[in-house]
Amino acid sequence: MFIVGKELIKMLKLTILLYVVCSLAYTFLIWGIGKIAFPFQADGSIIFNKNSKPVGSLLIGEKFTSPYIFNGRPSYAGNGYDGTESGGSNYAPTNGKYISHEKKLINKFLKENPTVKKGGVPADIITGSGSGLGPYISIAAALDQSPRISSLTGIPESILYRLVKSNVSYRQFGIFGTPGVNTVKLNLKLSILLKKSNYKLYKLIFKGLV
Amino acid sequence: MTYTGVLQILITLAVMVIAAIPLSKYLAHVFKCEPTFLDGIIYPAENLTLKFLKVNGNEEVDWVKYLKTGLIVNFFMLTIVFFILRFQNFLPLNQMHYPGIPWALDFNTAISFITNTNWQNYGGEEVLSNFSQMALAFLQFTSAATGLVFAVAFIRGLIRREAKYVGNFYVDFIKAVYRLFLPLAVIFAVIMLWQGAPQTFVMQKKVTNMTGVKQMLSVGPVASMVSIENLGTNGGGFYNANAAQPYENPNPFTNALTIFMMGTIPIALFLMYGIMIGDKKHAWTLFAVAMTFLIVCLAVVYSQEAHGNPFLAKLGANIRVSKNNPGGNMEGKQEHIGIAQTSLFAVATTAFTTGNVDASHDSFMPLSGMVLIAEMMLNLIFGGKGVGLLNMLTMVIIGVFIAGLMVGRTPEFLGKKIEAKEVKLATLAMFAHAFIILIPFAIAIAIPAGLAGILNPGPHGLSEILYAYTSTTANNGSAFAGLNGDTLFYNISLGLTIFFGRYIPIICQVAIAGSLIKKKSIPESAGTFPAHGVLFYTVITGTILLVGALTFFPALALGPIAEHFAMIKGHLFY
Repeated sequence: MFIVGKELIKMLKLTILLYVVCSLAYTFLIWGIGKIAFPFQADGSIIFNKNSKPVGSLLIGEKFTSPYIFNGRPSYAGNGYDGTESGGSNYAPTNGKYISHEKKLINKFLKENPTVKKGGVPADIITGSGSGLGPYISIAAALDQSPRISSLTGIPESILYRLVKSNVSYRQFGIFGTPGVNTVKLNLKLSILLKKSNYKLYKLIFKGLV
Repeated sequence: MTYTGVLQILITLAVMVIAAIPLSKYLAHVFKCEPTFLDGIIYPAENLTLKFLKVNGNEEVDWVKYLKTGLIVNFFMLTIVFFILRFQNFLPLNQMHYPGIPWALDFNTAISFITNTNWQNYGGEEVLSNFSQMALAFLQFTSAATGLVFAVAFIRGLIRREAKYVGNFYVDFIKAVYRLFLPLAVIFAVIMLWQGAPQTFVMQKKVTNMTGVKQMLSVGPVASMVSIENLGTNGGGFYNANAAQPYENPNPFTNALTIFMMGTIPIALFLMYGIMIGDKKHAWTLFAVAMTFLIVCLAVVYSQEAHGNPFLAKLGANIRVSKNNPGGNMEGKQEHIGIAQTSLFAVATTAFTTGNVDASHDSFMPLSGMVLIAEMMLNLIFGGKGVGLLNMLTMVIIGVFIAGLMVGRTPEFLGKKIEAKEVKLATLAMFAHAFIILIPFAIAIAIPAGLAGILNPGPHGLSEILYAYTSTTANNGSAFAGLNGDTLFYNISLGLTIFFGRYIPIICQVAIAGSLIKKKSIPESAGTFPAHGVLFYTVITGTILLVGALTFFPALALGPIAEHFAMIKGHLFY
């Protein structure tokens, strides 16, 4: 009935062996495969500008608050889009404080985008994502911002409309997910348009970084 | 709800069931020690391991020793990881110089990972070095293997007659790791890597965004952890937001793949059980019971989430679905993953006791939250590695006992008499689960240290605490994350519910196996209650509903149900 010392040594050996295999060897194996086969993804899908300076990740949203560009969803990750503190608001749907906070966000969006009518504010643009780092907004949320961006930058609305439409990520394999727009990609494209049409404004907003 | 939404849910579920069928055959071969196609590569590795351990692979032991070996091995593994986390500041791969984890949080974390719970009172990227994250991945392999081999021992208890021995723990354990979890983990880690999950030993990257904002990005060996955290139904993610963090779950396809990883093995275990006992019809009936619960839960969550928050609609938000606007309750959800995939993910993670989340469960609608809690209270909708099957079989024993009482006949199950001892142990396992949830919950809502952790006011706050104790007892690990659990009270009390919630039912269940294995087989007669078909399905579903409702309804009524009716009346809580 009792477990003798010899038996305990077997158990200890099993523990150490599996630690070496499952923690060290396994992680290094995947790391090696990443280095060889998927170096871009393994490093975090980092995008670089023409001076080879890292400007962000294709997968991680950024704090886009300037009215001249497409804004993302509210973020509760640190002080907003902090890549080291992922997290959502965790507000319950019946929390009174949350609803007052939402009232402010909705009214702010309506004020910034006067073409949008009350009752038409897309549900995603006034709520935070689960990690506070999601780069995606709905197509509606991107299109609703186009008139504002057009009037501020002088880029015709029809061009912005086409820009949004050509950057939609549709359902994967035609099945999975919900169509949306990646704000990181979208604003990168916007920067190119702005560089051509209004260089001074481009310098002011994008500071020559992309 | 949309057609495309329903379609992507059905496709994901169908692929899981289809993949589980060959996997179940493979697993049955593995644990019956029959040849499989991987023998050429893995057999030598297993032999080498057994030689290194000086274990005689042919020697089998009785259930007491099997259990004891498993529990002591678990204890050793827990200890290693406890010390790695505690002293991570002296260990490699800690470029951010994170300090050692304080003992109470460390206790909670180590227990949580060895028991397959993966409750996290910390934000992974904020406190853990890459070396510590890798140590947790080790427990994700071994805790899954532990649950699996105990289930295998239980099944042997059912099939062997007038016997004593249930198997060799070392052999089963090594097989579970080498033949199931390691190969699958490598394959899926590479797929996740390809799709965008990072795999590096750097901890943070500094970038300057296009608008000049400085941003730090947490990276690390994410791909390797994501695959085993889901395959092992562990659920402890690399990041605080877990699969809501785009690095852990870059796109809708990986989201579906993650659900696939969680669900396929638990479903396969139900079917493997059928093959091993030689009664596939019985296993498919249990599958049908579990699948019914899964689909009903899914229907509630999906419809609630797609319907959205009426308070936001009143303020001017558009929560109705249209071509360009996904609508619904988007708080805490990823836009491109969408309501349908998120609902399936949430239902799957609580059914398969994974606990990984791709959205904030705390921000779900009240009735969705209730369904998620209820799934963990039942803890048998396929369930985690092995444990879900054990819980289902516990309920089967109680079900046939009740059916036996009704017709006044000694209950039988798979040709063996179910007697007082088995019924007592099954009842103990069942009640232990309920007590371990409800008593600490009652204490927590009665003392200031418990109430201090609440984020959301009103009945939702009660739900936050109820969710926490249900999730830890069921070894799930997901959370209503608004609750601040990193306090002395919660670290210790949740750590204890995790510990007792895992081991008391498992000990009872393996003991049932130990008792059944000694019994004679009795031939089937006209009076035998068939363990398959519509009648059996009805009896088991009824038993689960009855036991579940009687035990847990009062707690649910005070939390999510009260919140739902308040919401309908337009009442907010401050």
